[in-house]
Amino acid sequence: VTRNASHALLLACLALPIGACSDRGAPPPPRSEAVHVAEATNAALELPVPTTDRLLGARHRGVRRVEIYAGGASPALAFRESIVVAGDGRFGLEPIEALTPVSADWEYVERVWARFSFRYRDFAVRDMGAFLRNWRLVDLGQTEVVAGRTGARYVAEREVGEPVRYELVVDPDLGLMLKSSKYDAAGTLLRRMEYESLELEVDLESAVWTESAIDETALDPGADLREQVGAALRVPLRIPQGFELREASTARFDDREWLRLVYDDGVEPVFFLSTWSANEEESAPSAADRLLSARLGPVTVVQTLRGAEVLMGVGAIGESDLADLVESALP
Amino acid sequence: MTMFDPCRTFRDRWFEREALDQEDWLAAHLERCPECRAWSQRVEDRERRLAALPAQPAPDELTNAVWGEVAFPELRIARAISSLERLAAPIELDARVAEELHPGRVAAASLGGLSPAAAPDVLERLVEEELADPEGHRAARFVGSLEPVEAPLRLEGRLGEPSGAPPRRRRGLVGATLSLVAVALLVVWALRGTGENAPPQRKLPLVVAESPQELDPLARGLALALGGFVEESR
Repeated sequence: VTRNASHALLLACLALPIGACSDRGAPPPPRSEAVHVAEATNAALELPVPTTDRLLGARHRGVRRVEIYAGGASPALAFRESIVVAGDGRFGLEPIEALTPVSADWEYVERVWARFSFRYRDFAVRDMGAFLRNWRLVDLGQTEVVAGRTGARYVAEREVGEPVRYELVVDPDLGLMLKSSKYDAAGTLLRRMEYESLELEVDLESAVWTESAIDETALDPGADLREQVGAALRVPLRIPQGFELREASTARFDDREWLRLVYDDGVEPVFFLSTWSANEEESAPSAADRLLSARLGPVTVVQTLRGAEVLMGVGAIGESDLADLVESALP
Repeated sequence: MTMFDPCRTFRDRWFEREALDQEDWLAAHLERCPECRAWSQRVEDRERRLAALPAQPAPDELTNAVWGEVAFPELRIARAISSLERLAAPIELDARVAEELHPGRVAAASLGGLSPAAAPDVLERLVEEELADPEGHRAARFVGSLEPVEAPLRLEGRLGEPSGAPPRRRRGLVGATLSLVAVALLVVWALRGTGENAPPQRKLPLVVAESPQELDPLARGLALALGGFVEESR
């Protein structure tokens, strides 16, 4: 975790969805999501899964317990956080207390990445069409009381690519996820989030909203990105099976222009970021070029440098898929 | 609900300061909090006075017991494991395992209280046939368990003589040849177009980073945030 305050702040915002960063009001749902939802069947529309719309639309306040596991029986990191959602797109997410030993800057880092955590950390259906194609939802026919609300129990399993399984408890009235546990292909628990308290009568006067500190320019992911920016962008040609481009934006950071693309399979996000310049000339890869990979917890990173140019892919998918994604953006 | 209390956190971490490597944070809090400064001075003073007390030798029995624990850790581990309470598997897991081992039985057991299902037609027919001719079915069932009787020598001799029937070896050879041809065709069909569907060869070598520090700070930050700020590799 970087300890440089301003650096971390900008990093976090650059990794955020455009709607969450640039708009202070209610961000509209991504265009492609609306298209897919419209195409889905009526039965699918009635699925009680927590979608990104419901995530932002269910007005409430609560305290959640979050546990992150690193292969052991007990969590490597556990903490409580407060959440308040206005129902109009505004939200606030703040750490309350750590329940495991943490570094001195833990609270600061959680605050800096709060927008990112709200959007991408926990289970949410980001696109109903892709979710229906790539995931299987099993209604266990059971209920569980979480934070005083009776939720229905579901299991969501990814059927395309590397298996991932979520156990969910969803409030059927709010479409709000009360509890979720994520497991990898081997059945190892990776992450758990659970509401400990939940109020629906919310006084927003005292709420502290999570704000943005960086300006991004939204791009239409469905149109030609190079035309929109007017530069020779590096855009991946080989996308992991089941994934689709959902968000696109540009931002200036660290004196460089960045292109930020977010793909997902309906639930799990994969990020592609690359620097670009309007004056840059195409160059063939040299002998010094290589793809550098690393695994941080359940997340894989593949990056490559071409002189001052940086291309990277980040996501909880296999190294080979991510390497294909990054390499396919090269000339 | 307990809110984040910097003084309580400071005092908890103070006792573990050598292991936690958080001197900067502790020193910063110490500087701005007079209560914790006074508290830490009292604790340090107490630690100093305790450390100055003359050491008392432990009884020999205790020394031997501790030495035994240290020298044979496997005994300690075995004792600890055997003392653990056996945890029951979740009901869902039990049900899924049972369904894997005996497909259909779990559902059948859970439906035990419902009205009985009709037997398959084939089972009904077999039972009816057996009931119609019980002696014949019993004889047929027990024939397989009778001790085989050796054939007379004269019959064995006749089996060795040439006959008009076509040799079975030649038919087997033709069958084997046809099978080989079929397998070869199947392999050729399966391999057809393999080169077209195989992923294109990677242009750049894929190298595993020796340390996450080799990554761009943005890539590292993004991966940590996505994984929940836990860096340990699985």
